[in-house]
Amino acid sequence: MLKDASELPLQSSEEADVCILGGGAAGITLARQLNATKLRVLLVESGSFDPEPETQALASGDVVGHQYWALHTSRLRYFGGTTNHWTGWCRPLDPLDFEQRAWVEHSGWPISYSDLEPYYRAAQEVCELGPLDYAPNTWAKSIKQPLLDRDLNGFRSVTWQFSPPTRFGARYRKELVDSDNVTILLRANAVYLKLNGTTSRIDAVRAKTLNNNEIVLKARAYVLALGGLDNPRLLLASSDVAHAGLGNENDMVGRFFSDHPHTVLGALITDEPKEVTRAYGDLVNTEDKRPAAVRFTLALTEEMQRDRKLLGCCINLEPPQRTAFRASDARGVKSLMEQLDKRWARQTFELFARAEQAPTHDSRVYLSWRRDPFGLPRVALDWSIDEKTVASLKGSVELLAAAVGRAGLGRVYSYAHREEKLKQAWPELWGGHHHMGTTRMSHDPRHGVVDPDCRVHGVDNLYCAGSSVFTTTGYANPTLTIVALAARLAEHLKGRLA
Amino acid sequence: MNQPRRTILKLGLAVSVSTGAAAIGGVACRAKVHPDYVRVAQRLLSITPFPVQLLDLGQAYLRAQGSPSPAALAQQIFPGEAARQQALSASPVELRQKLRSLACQQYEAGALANVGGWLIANVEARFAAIVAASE
Repeated sequence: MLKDASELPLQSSEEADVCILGGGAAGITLARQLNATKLRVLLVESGSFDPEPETQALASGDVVGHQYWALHTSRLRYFGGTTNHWTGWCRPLDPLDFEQRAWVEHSGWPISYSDLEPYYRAAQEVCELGPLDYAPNTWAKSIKQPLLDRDLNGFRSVTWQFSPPTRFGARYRKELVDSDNVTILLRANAVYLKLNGTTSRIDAVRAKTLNNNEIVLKARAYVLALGGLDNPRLLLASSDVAHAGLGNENDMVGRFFSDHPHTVLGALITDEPKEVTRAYGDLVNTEDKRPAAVRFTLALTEEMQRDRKLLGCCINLEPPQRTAFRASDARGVKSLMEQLDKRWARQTFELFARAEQAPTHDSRVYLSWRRDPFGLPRVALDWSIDEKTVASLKGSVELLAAAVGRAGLGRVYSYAHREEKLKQAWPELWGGHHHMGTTRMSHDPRHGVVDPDCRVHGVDNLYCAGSSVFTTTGYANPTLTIVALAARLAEHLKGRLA
Repeated sequence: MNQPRRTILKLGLAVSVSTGAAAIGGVACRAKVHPDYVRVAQRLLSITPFPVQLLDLGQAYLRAQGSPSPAALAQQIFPGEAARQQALSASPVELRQKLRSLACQQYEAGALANVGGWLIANVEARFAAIVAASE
């Protein structure tokens, strides 16, 4: 079913068993998983089926910390959410990412990879990928491309499956519109979660439209699926009963904001021919389109992360384009390879890293003094990247240099190690629009915002979905894990509300 | 790393060498240069046609290390009596193979030199420096 909040009678109310706020990857997955059940589901979307500038402008906010993208460009506010412009990189988190690692403070999810694995399988389907098999050998055979046949001590080839990319809004809209128990409510902007202070339950959600309508949403359970910036925003702004904001007794809402720091670490010159590196330097389409394409990158092994106390990091081999690295810069080392190794450098790649960020308490989302047209405070983002994250990136490029030199694969140039005057500009780190960690999952309310079931600590019927619940981030793009967690939450809600 | 021009990398552990002395495997030292190392340096130059492309790399290393002589660099590559004798008696092909083998060991151990951002084995940096110093 489909409704448009801007066309509903003034001050009307909508009732359901489950009210999902946000029609992005998490919200749509959740609604689909609850489709064809006895539960009445209300899927509330701020925008429409197409982008509308006035609605998108609601996403603007303040960037006050490390440089970041303008926030109104960093997520999309219409049905399908940010899947309307994602690029489709998919890979589950590694089992190590879920573990408590002694060398990573605040690490350790309260669930393990094996808890999530069945839902990763479901997520593969939702994202229109192949089987949950990320073994490089499987895909090297499938796409008829070789893997790097060198022992890169400390690094391994890892596989990425590419979604078409699935535009969740367009792909799953009809299924939900045709549903008997799911109602999509468009153009409704949640502005307030009304807490019953006696029962510690949410009684209702107030929503507004840009044409000045106001409606009340009532449900047995509520799920915030608004993304890593707006989930904490709405919790913090809902502060009449809980003055610090909902779920924020321990000042954890909005804390630990993480993104995957992206940077060009340097360059690699290699004697490998293009035939060998093709699947490392670009996507290779598959024949059966499941997944649409595959690509390999290099990543630190679990053993090396443990041994050197490093954060997760994967490195793409990219054709030189992002930096001013010139082939002539490599004359000397090319000659060394020729003179000593009797190998001839055939290709140059930029080493493009996507890394795990160390969980950082002071990296946070909070409420700006500026307000949107509904009177809701806008988001302020203070992205803070600590020295451990930078040191880990630097350590990773040193290890790669040693590994490729030892293997005779080539030589590595590092921006982190160049002359002092040039080094000023390093690291130039930018985010990947991956807003994570702001309502992190924990057993203990002192260490996070949601419990292992994604329920907000201390609020009986309020849940968070999406990457805001990530305890740590690994290096993998978040969408597949967002979808898996949403599928898992759906199972929980089915059991609880049946 | 505060002094990249005087630096040896040891797998994530940056060791600053502030004395200006030559650096071997992460340890700085000043050693008297045996006269035979002049010949060792000359033999190293003979393993290949003069590689002009190595000059920039070698000069960068020389600047960083306080311009050690080719003989001093050769001694750092082949320290000790036995290694020196081996170097003097080896054919050019064997010398090249020996350099490659030493480089592999250093990559394995993470004993890398930072030469203007290139992270290469110490032995490679020194070989390039011998070429540059002998120009």
